[in-house]
Parts: sequence; structure tokens; C-alpha cells
Amino acid sequence: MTRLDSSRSLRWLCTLAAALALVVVLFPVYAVIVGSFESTQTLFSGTFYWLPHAATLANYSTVIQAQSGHVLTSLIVALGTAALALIVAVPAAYALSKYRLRVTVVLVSSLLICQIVPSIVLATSLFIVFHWTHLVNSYPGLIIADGTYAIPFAILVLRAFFFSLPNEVMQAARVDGASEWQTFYRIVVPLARSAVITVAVFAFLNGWGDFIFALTILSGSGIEPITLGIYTYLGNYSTDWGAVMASAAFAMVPAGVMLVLAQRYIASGLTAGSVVG
Amino acid sequence: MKLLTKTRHRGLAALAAAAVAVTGLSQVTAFGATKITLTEEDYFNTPGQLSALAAYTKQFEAAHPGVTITRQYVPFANLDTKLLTQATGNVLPNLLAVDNPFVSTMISTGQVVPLSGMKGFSTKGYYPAVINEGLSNGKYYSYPVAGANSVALIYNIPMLKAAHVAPPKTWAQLVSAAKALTTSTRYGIALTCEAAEDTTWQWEPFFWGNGGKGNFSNIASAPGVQALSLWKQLVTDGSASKACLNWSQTPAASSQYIAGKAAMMVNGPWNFPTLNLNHMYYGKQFGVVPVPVRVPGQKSIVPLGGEDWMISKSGGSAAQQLAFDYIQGMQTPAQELTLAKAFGYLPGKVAVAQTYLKQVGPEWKVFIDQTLYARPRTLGLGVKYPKISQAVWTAIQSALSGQQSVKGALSTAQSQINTILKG
Repeated sequence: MTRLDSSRSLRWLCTLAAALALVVVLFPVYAVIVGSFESTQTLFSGTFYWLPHAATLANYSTVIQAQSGHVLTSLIVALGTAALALIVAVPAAYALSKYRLRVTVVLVSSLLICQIVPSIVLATSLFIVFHWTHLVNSYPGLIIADGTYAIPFAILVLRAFFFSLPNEVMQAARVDGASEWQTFYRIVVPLARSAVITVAVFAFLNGWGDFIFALTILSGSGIEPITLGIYTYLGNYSTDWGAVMASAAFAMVPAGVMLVLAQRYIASGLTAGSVVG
Repeated sequence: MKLLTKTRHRGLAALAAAAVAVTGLSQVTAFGATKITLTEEDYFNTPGQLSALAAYTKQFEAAHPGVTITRQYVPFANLDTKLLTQATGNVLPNLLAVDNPFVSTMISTGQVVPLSGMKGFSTKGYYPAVINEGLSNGKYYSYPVAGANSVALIYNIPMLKAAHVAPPKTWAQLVSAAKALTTSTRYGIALTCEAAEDTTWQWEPFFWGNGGKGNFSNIASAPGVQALSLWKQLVTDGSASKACLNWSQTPAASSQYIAGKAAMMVNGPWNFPTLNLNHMYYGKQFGVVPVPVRVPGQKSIVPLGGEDWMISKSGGSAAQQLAFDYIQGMQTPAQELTLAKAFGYLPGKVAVAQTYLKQVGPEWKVFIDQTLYARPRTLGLGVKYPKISQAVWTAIQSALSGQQSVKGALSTAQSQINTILKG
């Protein structure tokens, strides 16, 4: 076998593996979309139909009006979480990677420890703190709560990226007369664009998919993200699976658009810092 | 390489802190002195439930100027956790509608007030099992929301006729009927055996009706062994699907029945609207009989389901009194009838239930008759009930899946229950 042949077969093998993984990962999405066009009776008939059996738009007409406001809420929360994560994490990660502080080791390890605490534990204590500080039932409260996971993750990813940034770049800027701040926002931030977009997307998804914090921190304020909205159809005595599927499909749209727009930055952002340990 | 002076990285830190502080500017709530807002949390989600509650609230607000009731929906699976979290912060909603096995847990938080001392509170006329849901240390803590519900055997009339089978009254008849009704495309009966409370709840009529004790202290003796052996036999006969290990009572098991994949099910009256929607009507397509008993002469003892109103300490005595007026207003016969109809429940009072039977139809008769002998799940057990229930459904699952023998599974449960009861 020639070298060309073997590299070609390897490529086929890799493609096949990727396709298989994709099938496994995408099947639930497919099932949700098919299910969103089925009546609840069909969904419970015990037979899985690859294409909608008796396609109906009834689920969507139930859902779109009822859930649009919730999708908007989710968008506000997710964008807010992304913004908060960037505002805190970009400078913090830069400082933790480029300046020698005595507390760096402690800070970085506490960022890791933050991620170990299960969200339900955090939610209960945050609820009490937020109650004292009047942050329950508010967008800022929910955004800060979602930030408790988004920010440490963002700092860790960005810090790895900043390590890969040669110090000479900053020194050159300084030689040219740039102040410390100018170096940061004129040179460093633009260079870190991929990494910044990557962490913004992850923070967005963090806020978008959150259920526990929203459940704990919100009550009776009219603020209700789509993750809670979907549960309107899951009850003790009645469950409208068709509507659940349609809400899920409907809710995928904004997050999906966001991901498609950001995807070309994500791969480079995640791998950028990976060569430096 | 030290790039920055100390003041500068303080600057960065200050920026981060400022970002957090700015987002903290929130919540300016207008709260007039003469106005009062009561908050309420529940998990109701069917259109009937929602419109009935909304109509009552509107009427109450019209009669009490300045009072607003703010309702918050919480998903069924999460209401208990959320209420406990709120209890730790002493910020429970003024009114809470909880599933009745959870009433004792709420009482144990110390954050709810007894209704016994409230002006106008009365237990008169209620089915004992209904009002005793909220009884703790001689004080009553709850009123039913829309009465109560329970389970019975619902069967498909055409299928039974075609198989020349009469509705079963005893376990032996149930076994043979289920066998005769099983074909290649359907099972005789749809059981519920998922790892959840509704499995214990479905099994309780079999166990209690056969002499099982309310606190499950004799679960590994004859009453328990016989009751679980019956379920096991239905599965080993192939009369009940083994897939029931994943089935909830509603909608999983009920959908099997509605789709014609099961000829019988143990289920409750909240299914009537769905059955009618699927062109199944009482007396023609479906019939209702009590859960069969082992030997003639025994009486089916069902658990009671439904939700109860409780009032929290939040807001002081004025808010508590107002909250009490709100739930007291629902206890009039007229309101009871309206709510029970909208919820698909039975009214909580004996006399009202008789009026109800005349209004709603004969499919309710079995449910109303058996309420007199019903048993609240948490009576005498309080917060121990959920733990015991878990031991019970675990035993049912492990026996039906074949992991353990019926006796083995029940003796495991027995030792767990003994520990829970002692604790």
C-alpha cells in the first residue's frame, strides 16, 4: 500500500468516526424536531416514526405565543451573562497570566474549586444572600448567579490563551509609548478575539441553559426563562409532550443562530492556548 | 517580569468590582401603604385548573379592594425543593398549594401557621381522610385545594365483552381476566412501576386492602408478600408489560390504555377529560370498579391524592388572615363543586360529594364511595412517608425486574422501614 493510499483510508476512517459521533449527538435534536410535529397521542403510541406520522402545527401554535416572551427573557439573561463574564474575566485572566501576584496560585485554584460545587448547593446559599441584597426576582440576580459558573471557566480558558501571547508584543507596544491600559485594550484584547468570542459563547450557553438558578432565584416577578417555560407543559396530572418538543425546538433557534455565527472563532479559541501548559 | 505597579492592578480589580456593583442596581418596587399583595405558589398546569383558580382569584380581589394575589407557577417536580429553599430564607409565599404527602414536611419547617386558631376554621363535614392530611400535634394546617382524588380499576368495556370477561372483583379474577385480555398487540393491564411515588401510590390499595398497615410495618408479612406476588404474577404471565418499570401513572400508563395497548389500568378520575377527548365515554367505552381485593369481603383502601392549601408566616398576621380568607372562601359548597369539576377531583365534604355525583355522572360513584375508607398517606408518618415510599417502590422495582425475589425485596424494604420508623 502506498503512503497516499494509507493516508486516504485514514481520512475516510476519521470521517466515518466523526459521522457516527454526529449521529449519536444529533439524534435527540432530530427526535425533538420530529416530535414537535406529532400529537401527544402519537408520541405515546409506542412506535417511533422517522417522519411525522400525522404532521400537525398545533404544538407550535400553542407554544410560540406562550413562549416567545420566555425566549426573550432567556436571551437577555444569556447575553447579560456573556457580557458580565467578559467584563470580569478578560482583565482578570490577563492579570493572572501576565503579572506575578502572590495570590495567583490561590486564585487559580479557587477558580477551579468554584466549578466543583454543585449548582443546587450554590443556588440555595445564593438565594439567601440575594434575598438580603434584594437581588431575587431580578435580571441582575440571575445573571450574577449564572456568572458564578461562566466567569471561572472564562478566566481559565482566557488565561491559557494569554500565556501563549508572547510578552514581546506587549513590550513593543510599551516601547512605542502605550500605557498599560492602552496595551491591554488596543493590543491584547484584539489579539485575543477568538478566545474572547469562545468564552462569550460558552457564557451565553451557560445563561441560556440554566434551570436551577432560575428556578431558585425567580418567583412571581414575571421573569421566566424558556428552561422554566418548557415545564409549563409537564405536570402532575397532565403532560403535553408535543408542546414540550415544540418549545424545545423553538428555543433551539436563537442559540443555534448564535453558535453558527460564532463557530469559526470557537475552534481556534479553544485550541489557541493549548500548547502552553 | 513585573509589568505593572500595584495601583494599576488594583485598578483592574476595581473595574471588575464596579461591574458587579452596577449590575446590583435593581428592584425598585412600588408598594403603597394601603395595598397588599399576597403571593401564591402551585404547580397546576391544566387549562381547567388555571381558569378555575383565576376566576376565583378575580372574584376574591373584587371583594377585597386593594388586595392583589400574585400567582407563581412552579414545575411539579421542583415545587418541594423550591419551597424548602424559600423556607430557609423565611420568604415563603403567603399561600402554598402542595401535594398532600408534602404537607408534613412543610409543617416540620416551622414556617407555616396552623389554621386551627383562625376565625371561621372548621373541619365539619369533611371526609376524615381529606381534612386529616394537615393534622399534626392536634392542630390542622391545611384545607384541600379542590377536594381529593384516588384510584380505581378503569377497564375497556368492548375489550372485556369481546373476551367474555366480567370486570374483576378479586385478585384471582384480575389474574385470569388480564390473561384472557392479553393478545399479541395488547396487554391485559397497564401497571405503573417507575421509580417514583406514583408506584407506591398504585400499590397501596392492593396492600392496604389486604390488611397492610398504614405505616407499612408489616410489609414483609402476608399482606405485602401476597400483594406484590400478584403484581409479579401479572408481569410473569405476560399480562402486564415489563416496560411498566419506566411508566408513570399519567401519562405513560394511561396513554397505553387510551391507545388500546392495555385493556385495564389502575388510575384516577383526572383521566376522564382525556378519555372523553379520545372518544371514550363512561358506560360505553370504559367502566370503573374498585381496585380488586384478594378475597371477597375485603374492602379496597385507597390512598388520597390532591393538593392542600397552607399559609406561611410571611407578612405577619394581617397577611395571614387575608390568606386564610382566600382559602376559606373556596370551602363553600358552590366553590367546592366548581373547583372539583375543573380539577377532575372529588369534593372534600361528604354531603357536597353526593350533590357532585348527581351533577357529574355515575363514573364518579366508585371514587366517591371509596373516599370514606381512604387513608391519608402521611397519617402518623409525617416526614417519614417519602422515605418509606422510596423503600416500597424500590422493592416493587427489584421484584418485578427479577433482581430479587418478592420475599427478598420485601424483607430488604422491611428492614429499611423499621429503621425509618425508629428514627
